[in-house]
Amino acid sequence: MIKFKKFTLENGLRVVLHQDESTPMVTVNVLYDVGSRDEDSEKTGFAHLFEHLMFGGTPKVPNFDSIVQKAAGSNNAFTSSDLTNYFITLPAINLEVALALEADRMGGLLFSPESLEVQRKVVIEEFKQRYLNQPYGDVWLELSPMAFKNHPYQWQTIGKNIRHIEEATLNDVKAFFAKHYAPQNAILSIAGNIDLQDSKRLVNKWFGKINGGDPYKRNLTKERLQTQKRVKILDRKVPQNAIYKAWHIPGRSDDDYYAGKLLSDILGHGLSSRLHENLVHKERLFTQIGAGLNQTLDPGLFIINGMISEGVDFEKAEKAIDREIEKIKKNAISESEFEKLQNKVESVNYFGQISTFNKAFGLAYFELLGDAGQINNEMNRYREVKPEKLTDFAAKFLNEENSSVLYVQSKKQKA
Amino acid sequence: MSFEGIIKEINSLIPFEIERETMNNGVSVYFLNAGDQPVLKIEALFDAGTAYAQNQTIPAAVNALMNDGTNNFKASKIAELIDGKGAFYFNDIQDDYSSNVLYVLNKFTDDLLPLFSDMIGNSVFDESEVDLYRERMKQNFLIDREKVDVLSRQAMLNTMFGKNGAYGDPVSVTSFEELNRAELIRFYDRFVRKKLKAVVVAGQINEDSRTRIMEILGGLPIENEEGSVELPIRKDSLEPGSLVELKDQTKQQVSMRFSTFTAPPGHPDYFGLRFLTTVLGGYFGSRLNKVLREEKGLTYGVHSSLVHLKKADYLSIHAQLNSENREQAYDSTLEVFNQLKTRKIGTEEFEMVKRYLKGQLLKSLDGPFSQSDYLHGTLMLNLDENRAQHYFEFLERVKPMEIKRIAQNYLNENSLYKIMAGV
Repeated sequence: MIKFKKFTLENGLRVVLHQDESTPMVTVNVLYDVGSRDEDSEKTGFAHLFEHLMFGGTPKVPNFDSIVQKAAGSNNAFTSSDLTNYFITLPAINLEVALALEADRMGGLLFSPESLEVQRKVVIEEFKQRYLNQPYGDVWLELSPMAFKNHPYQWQTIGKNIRHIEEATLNDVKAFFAKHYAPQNAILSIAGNIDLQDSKRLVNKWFGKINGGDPYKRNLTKERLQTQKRVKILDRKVPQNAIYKAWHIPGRSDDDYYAGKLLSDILGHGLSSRLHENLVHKERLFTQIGAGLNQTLDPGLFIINGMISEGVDFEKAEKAIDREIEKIKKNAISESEFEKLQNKVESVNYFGQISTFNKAFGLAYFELLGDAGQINNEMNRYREVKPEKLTDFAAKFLNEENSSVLYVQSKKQKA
Repeated sequence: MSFEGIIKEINSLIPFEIERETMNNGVSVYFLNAGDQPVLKIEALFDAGTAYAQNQTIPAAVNALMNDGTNNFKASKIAELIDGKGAFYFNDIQDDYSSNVLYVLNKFTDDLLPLFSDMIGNSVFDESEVDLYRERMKQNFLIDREKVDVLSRQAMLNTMFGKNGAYGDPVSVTSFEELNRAELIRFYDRFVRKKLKAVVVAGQINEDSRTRIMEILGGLPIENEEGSVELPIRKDSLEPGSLVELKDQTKQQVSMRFSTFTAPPGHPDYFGLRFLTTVLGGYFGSRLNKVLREEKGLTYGVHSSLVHLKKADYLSIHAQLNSENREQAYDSTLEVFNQLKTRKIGTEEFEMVKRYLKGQLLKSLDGPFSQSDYLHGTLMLNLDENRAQHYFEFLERVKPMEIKRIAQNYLNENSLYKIMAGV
């Protein structure tokens, strides 16, 4: 149970505070309600490029990082398709420094052309390092546009291609900031060794005067129902054949999400999961296999991906996966298998609440979903799922016409 | 905006309590009782790292296959029991040591302890499990060989220590093909099953779980005699200085790696080296990151770190770059060295690094799991158990002149190993 206090400033900034006296540290987390799904299809990769620019300085604080370091802290950020998140972890005695810094850059950036030029290059190197110069690194660049034809989830956070990053202008940057980086679109959460009253006073002092900005109305194209299976073969210089199969499923807040998550655990999480036990351990069709869902706020994907054993062809590999899904659809899930899932949920919950960062981000994330308090209701939501719901989920979503399959074919080993 | 008024300095570290007990079999168990979640981390440590076998895949396989079948539990039963209680099991292997870790909800500790103990004392390494492992690891190895950073690391280790040196990296596809059950059992018998070095327990520890841990893990028949294995540290290693290039024009990036031998913990230069490594490339505001990333945009990131092994110590720098930028990155790196050797670090930067490092120290001891990581170094690399406190005191008194002297002693082009992979 994470106790917290929640309030909203007049400018619309939502604030969540959690006191933890067992640590000398504090994490100040600022989540902006903007991700790559909010990008123009001709200017992709922008939310993430922007994340880099948030460290480029403001008129008052040209050197963000060095102030954090002087305050004995460290900081980082990440961007996903749904959100952009910034955090500073530092000794709790320096809480005010972190608040002053985050408030300052929420108020406005320097927008220097030099910073844009340099970060553009850095992001291009990141693109290469993480996606292009890694075996199987471009799989998601290929699979997402197969599965999504309408919704912006069709591109990755890094962007559709390098060209969009290369062509970004300073005006784009300024417009993006004005549109998304305002108190109305942000959630500030603080977790650590803080005094609640004093923190509230400091939050007011630093964030209270920032202009709230205009509310951003999200109006994204909905993904149209898929009616036919999609298949693509990628020839790549990789040592082993691999298969990625993805199905459309509901978003993070939907009741079905919880059934889907449990089903992905049964199928492909851990050494006792069905896919591993049956297809790796017993039948040896794969050397590794897993299942999971990307936890997107809008309807997302359920994915199974496996590294195929030498000498096994794609058809046989995929049929084996389908067979496991059919078993879920046809046979009831035993009580012991189901209890295992519930124990795992409990364990993930506790282990996931260990650091100040995890707690701060968790609170902000659930506030983004609608209510920070839901962080304490997660276990219940899983517990409310009945075993039949998993069968229903499989029957409803894990169907051929709803699937996209990517075969990555090793150039060395033609299957 | 001035932050001078509001930035406060850390004046001291917060000591944490380690309780040490000796179990019936003579093995030490360390308890770190802290945290506000009802969970435990139970870790078994062994002097059984990759350096202890000519074929380094053998220690790794032993470490990885301990949860794949014992005299009393089949592999699938072990997986079912661990997953069934929502626990997590991890194995880890380094050059000098290996460990097996169980993360478990307090209430299930009792259910899983006998199994954990059986994995340490009664693993069987079934032929079929070894086959499966061999195939999976061979494929992973082949995938890794496509990565320039992996290639440069291997080249660096082999240049510094020699392919047949204990810390070299001779692993090839053949190493996996040669893996067999008999070899695994031989290694397991000699270095693991009766050689449990220590147990570390961290989390919310109650009297009951403490008693059970001591009873069950203390019941393992351990024969820890003194006397260590002689390791051939450097064998056929090369002299530093010249640039080693690994050609592969299909790659989109080059992995640049520099390294040099340094001094062991306990040496008078040790803390200064840690400080210097931080200034150089150990944090986001480091000299190298500033020049290579934030000023020139040559890389997504450049990092330097100090590596301490039982019998060797070195500093390593790594960056992945666009191929055409490699000369610029190379020259810029050497220029950063030069600056550190010829000019004292300015007061502002010096103070910043000092404070940053104090914060990192505080964080590194925060919470039971961080504390258990810290204890690792103490137990497995024989590091000073009060090193955090001593480093803190060093940070209070160190002067820029001292760091300049360290830079002059250790950052020399002639004693650098230099690798470019993916050229």
